[in-house]
Formats: sequence, structure tokens, C-alpha cells
Amino acid sequence: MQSMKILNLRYDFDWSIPFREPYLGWLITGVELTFLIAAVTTILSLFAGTILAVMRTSRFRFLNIPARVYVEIVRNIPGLFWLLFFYFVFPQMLPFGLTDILNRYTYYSVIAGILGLTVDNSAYVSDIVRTGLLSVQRGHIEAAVSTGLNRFQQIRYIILPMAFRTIMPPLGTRMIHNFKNSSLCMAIAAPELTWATQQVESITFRGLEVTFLATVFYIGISLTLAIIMIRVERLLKIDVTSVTQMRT
Amino acid sequence: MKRSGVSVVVVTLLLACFISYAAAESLVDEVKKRGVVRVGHGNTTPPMNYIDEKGRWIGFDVELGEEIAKRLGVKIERVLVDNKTRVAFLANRSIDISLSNISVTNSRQEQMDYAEPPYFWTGKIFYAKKGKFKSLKDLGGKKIGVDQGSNAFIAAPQELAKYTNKKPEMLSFQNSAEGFLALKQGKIDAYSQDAPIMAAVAGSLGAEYEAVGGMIYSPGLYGIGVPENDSDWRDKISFIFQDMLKDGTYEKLYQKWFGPKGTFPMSVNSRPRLSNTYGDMLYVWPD
Amino acid sequence: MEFLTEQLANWKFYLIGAYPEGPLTGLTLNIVLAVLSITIGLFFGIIFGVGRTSCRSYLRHPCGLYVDVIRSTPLLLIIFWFYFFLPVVGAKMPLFWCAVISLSVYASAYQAEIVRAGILSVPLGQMEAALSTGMTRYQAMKLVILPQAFKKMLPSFVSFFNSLFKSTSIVYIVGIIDLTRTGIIISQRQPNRIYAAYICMALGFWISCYLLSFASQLLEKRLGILDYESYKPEICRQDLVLLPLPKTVKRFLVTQK
Repeated sequence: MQSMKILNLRYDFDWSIPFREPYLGWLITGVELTFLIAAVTTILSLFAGTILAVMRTSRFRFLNIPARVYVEIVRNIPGLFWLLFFYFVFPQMLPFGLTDILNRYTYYSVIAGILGLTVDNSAYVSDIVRTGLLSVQRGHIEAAVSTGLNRFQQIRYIILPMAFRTIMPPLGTRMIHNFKNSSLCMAIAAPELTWATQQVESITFRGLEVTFLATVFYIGISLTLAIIMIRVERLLKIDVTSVTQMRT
Repeated sequence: MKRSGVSVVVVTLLLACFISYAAAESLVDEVKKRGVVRVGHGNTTPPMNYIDEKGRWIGFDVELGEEIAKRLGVKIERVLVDNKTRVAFLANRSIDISLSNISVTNSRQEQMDYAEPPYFWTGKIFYAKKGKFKSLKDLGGKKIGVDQGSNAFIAAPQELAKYTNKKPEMLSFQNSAEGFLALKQGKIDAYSQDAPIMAAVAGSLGAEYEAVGGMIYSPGLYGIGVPENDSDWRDKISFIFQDMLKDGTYEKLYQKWFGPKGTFPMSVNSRPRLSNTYGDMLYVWPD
Repeated sequence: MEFLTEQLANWKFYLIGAYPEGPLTGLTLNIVLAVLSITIGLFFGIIFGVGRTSCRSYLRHPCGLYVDVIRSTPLLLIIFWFYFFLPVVGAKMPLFWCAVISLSVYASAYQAEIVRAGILSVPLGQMEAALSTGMTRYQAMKLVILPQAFKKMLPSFVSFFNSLFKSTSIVYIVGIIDLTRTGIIISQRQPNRIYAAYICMALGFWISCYLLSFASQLLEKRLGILDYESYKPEICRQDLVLLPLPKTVKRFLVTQK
């Protein structure tokens, strides 16, 4: 007796599961940690990426070459590798006292996740910032030089603000990627959202409900971020034109 | 017209994803018709199932599965499962047998059935550096690692609650080997897992570690998992396994892996058959 | 250095595992996964990419929704969906194919964006000219627009292939023995050699990715790269009517062009 059914689900959805304790607690911690990891990584990789980009555009070899080597190494190795590396290998490389301090710290997995994602993301950010720096017209730099600003001041006050305005869209995209990549932290037992869904699945054998909620969460946040980026972009463009109008 | 042809194909393809045949017959017939039995094994828990130095997929479970398929007279298709999917895949019938060090527990009973008898005796231990903890009481408030999907996540805090009021901090890893590495590096204070698995994972490093207090808690049984509500199939597997117990095939397999000359020699007897004592054949149903 | 040479003696395990006696594992598996999924993804990517540029809204919106949803979901969750959900609807397939499908779905959304950017980079006049010679839209797309677009898409494809290849390492989480898992297995077997195992793992990825990125850089210089990464969800006023949201929120969500 074979019968053909459309959508023959071998699964009874029980939507009360995500709202039961302790599962709800895990999920809420997961959401908090996901935000924390994404936010800290974004800020750190912006800093690191900008410094790397400035180093890469520098004329001095001892600044230029290390930055280029770093980017070449990081860009060609998966982000997951860096997470595993920072969790399992990095503490062992440190001098004796630090190894133990890091290993005993309860939330070292979160720190390792942040470090790993930052290393991965900063290489990409530096690529983006570098194109931004190169896109700044020579005339502006010459103007800055002629007003008597030194090299640091030129970068800080003239070049970087102009560069950031042009690279806003790709930077936003990168940050959304980074937000999504925070889910990789489950590989190193950091209790973020994806880890929480898997934990619920492994205890109750009913993971689809929580996985669904998590997917909705990721999609919602990514799209909201994307839309905010579009708004910001539009605002900035108006800003740019008004600046040029003022000058002429 | 051409474009509508393409879209018809696409729509059919999409629909095909959602159409499935609901099988009302028992797995006994289905497997025979298919000629293939799908057996789920993990690959991260030596000695039961793991990847060896040469990259082969071996272990006690794997060889047991092979033997069962041979006796069913069909080919074997090994499906990779992990601690999280070994039960879920049975429940949604992606596999016919789950042989992946599954402890028989009450909560799993709702999702699956077990063939009779269980094939391995075991117990969980708290594994920690030698001399670090004297008894389970010292483990209160410490960091305890478990496998994600292992019932130790529930059993370990329950056990510790008997001795101390301080709740342990639970961390769950993707597999025992990662957990043991974390234990070795001091990221967790103790790792809770079944004793034979822990011994095999630690390997030669095992000399530096011990079971806290020498205690085995939550003694358990590994069972051969079969899908729920298919008694024909369950009986078939049960009888095949009991035949293996009777004619000594199981004993040979056990000696190969856990005997004094085996790959992972074990001092404790983990067979379901208590040899040379009263009730020898207790776990095999009489004819 | 001694450790490293010792590890390199394991080269067969890193590269192909126990193949041909056992299943194919290691770096080759990563390459196979990436090649298979980019090929399948390309097929669907063209369908969705062309669909997104269609002037018919009943084609454009579903395609746009698909691309937006997939691009905003982490790859790990896409893999889990196929891993846990496919069996629930009764589709039975080996884990390897589960991974191929989820990677293909992921790739198809990104490739749809590449295709769309490629099509948009062809001047509108080309389409008009083709239509005026009496071609149907389908013919014009196939014979005039896509061949021109493909030339511009090539560097983006190579650079996306590079990123997809790196993403294949994620499948290790569901238990597939790729290069990452191989490195972890070896590092756990000999915890004292952990550095060497990780260096080997990194080298395997680095060499293959470096060659690829070298190729993509060459192509990029010659042909220029398209902007497929930028993240512009296409939410239209019509789609929003159905959502139970306050008006101010809706106005904020709509992207005007």
C-alpha cells in the first residue's frame, strides 16, 4: 500500500518548545552573545583594517610589506580556521602564565571567537579601505600638504574621512557578512544563537522550531542592517553633493 | 512556448522536492526490496566508531553493522550521523538502523526503539587530571565538558547535585576529542563521557588522567536503535543480534576490539552475556 | 621543523584520505564540493539572475525574495536546514549530497547577483537593438546580452569561487571529513604536535586559494570586477502591503531608486 502525499511531514511541530525553560534562556543568551560578538568584531576589525590599509598604502617598506603579507595570508585561509586556531592553538603559544589564565577563563571561547573573526574580517576591511584611500584624488592631498598638515594629520583629517564616505556601501556589506559569520563560533563551543539551536535540538530532538526562529532572526537583522546602510548611503550622497555645491 | 517549458520543468523539480512516498509496509520488506540497509554510524567516538590513521572508517559499531547487513542478506550503506542526528535520523526514517553508541534512555524512547538486548554495558565517568579532585563533591561549581547531544548534559548535573549544592558550569563540545583537548589545555576541569570512549580518546595520554573518585555514575547500555513502531523490523534485528550472541560471532568481535589482545583492551566485562555464571543466556530469548 | 616533516609524511591523509579504498576525504573533498556546487549554483544563478532583471513582476519578486533570503542567512544555518529538514519531508540523501545542495543554494543566490550585475552592465541599447531586429526577449537574452555579460562576469565568478572554496570548510561541523576535520583529527591524535597539524591544514587551504586568487587578480585587472557583493534588498511597496507594520516603518523600509 503506497500512497502519495504532498508535504508528508514526518515531524510534529511543537511551537511551545522555544518558549520553555531552560531553552528560552539559552536562546536569549545566544541572541545577546551573537550581538556582542558581531558588534565587538565590527569595531575591532574597523580599527585593525584601517591601520592595515594605511600601512599598505605607505611608502615605507617596513610598514608596507608586513601588512601585505598579513592580508595575503589571512585572505587565503577560511575564517573557520582562525576560530579553531585561536581557541585551541593560540593560548598554547603564549608564555606560561598567560596560557593558564586564558584557558581557565570561562568565556574564552567567546574571546577566541572575537579574535578569530576579527583577524579574518580585518583583512577584507583593509582591502576595502585601501581602495577608498586610493580613490582620494591627488589634488586633495596636495591641498592638504600645502596647508602645512603633516602626514598623520593629512591621513586623519583629510584622506580617511573622504575615503570612508566612498567605501560606505562595501563596508556595510562586509559588516553584514561578519554578523552572519558570528554563527561559526558554535564550532568552538561559544554559546551563541546557532549553538543554542543545536543544543535544543540535541536535548529535545526537535530542532526545526528553534532553527526556524534563528533563521528569521538572522534574516531580519541582516535585512534591517542592509536597509539602514542604504539609507545612510543616500544621506551621505546628499551630503557629498551639498559639500561640492558649497565649494563651487 | 520555450520559456513556459523551462518554467514547467522548474516547477516540477520544486514540487518533486516536496512529494514523497509514504511507506506503509514494514522495513523488513522495504529493505529486502531495496537491497540496501542504511546504517547510521558516527565517526568521532573511538573505539565504537572513528576514523583511523589511514582514514578508514572503523570501530566496534561499524563491524557490528557490517555483520548485521551480511545476515540480512543485503548490501550496507553507511550513513554518517553525529550525536545530534543519530536519533533524529531514525525518527524521520533516513536510516534503518542507528549503531552509534546510543545509550538507552527514557527520553530517547519516545523517538525510537531499541533492539533487544543492548549490545554493550557502559557507564559515565568524570574524567580529570590525576589527583586534582578527590571526590565528586569537589566538582561543584567547576567547569564540566560534555558532548553536544550526549545525555551527560542532563545526567552529570543530576549526579553532582547528590553531593554538593554548587551547580557545575556545563560546556558542550562538538565531539569527545575536542573536549579532551580542552581538558588537556585546562579549559575545563572535568569531562564527562562513557568510560570506554574516554579511555580510547585519551589513548596513551590516559596515564595522566583518572575517573574522579573512581566512580562510575549513570550506568548505561548501548542499544541498537531502530525506528519507532515497527515491531517486525525490531524483532528481525533483535533475533539477528541474538543469533550472533549464540554462535559466538559477537564474542569474536568483542575479543577483537576489547579482549586482552584487542585494539582497546578492557579490564571490565562489557558483554551483554555474563559468561560462566548462572543466567548465562539471560539476554537471549529462548527458542 | 622536525614536526613539520613528520606531518608531511601524512600528506596522503590530508589530500585524499583513504581514497580509493575508503571514502574520499581531505583537501580533494573541499575542491570537489566547491566545483560541484558552483556548477549547480551557476545553473540556478542564471535562472534567478535573469529572473531578477525581468520586467515581469511575478518573476522579479520571487527571484528577488529568494536571493535576499539566502544572502541574509548564515551558510551554517542553510546547511542545518538541509541536514535536518530534508529528511523530514522524506527526501533521503547521503550527507555529501546534503552538503552539495546547501552549498549550491548558497552559491546560486550570490551567482544570481553576479549575473544580474553582468546583465545590468550591458547597455540597454543592446537589448533594444536586438528586439528591433525581430528577436524575441528569450533570444535576445541568450544570443546578445548573456554572452556579453559573461565576459564581464568571469572575474567575479573566479573571486566568488575562491570565497566558496573557503566556505566549504564549514561542512566539517556536520561531520564531513574535509581538510579542516582531517587537521583536527590529526591534531587530536597527537596533541603535542598541534602546531604542525594546524600549519599543514592552513598550508593546504593557502596554496590552493592563493593560486585561485592569483588567477582572479589577473582577470580582475584585465576585465574589471562587478559589484555583486553589495547588499541591496529589493523590497517594493507592493510587498509591504501585506505586512502588519506601522506606516512609518513601511516608509522606512521601502528603497527608492
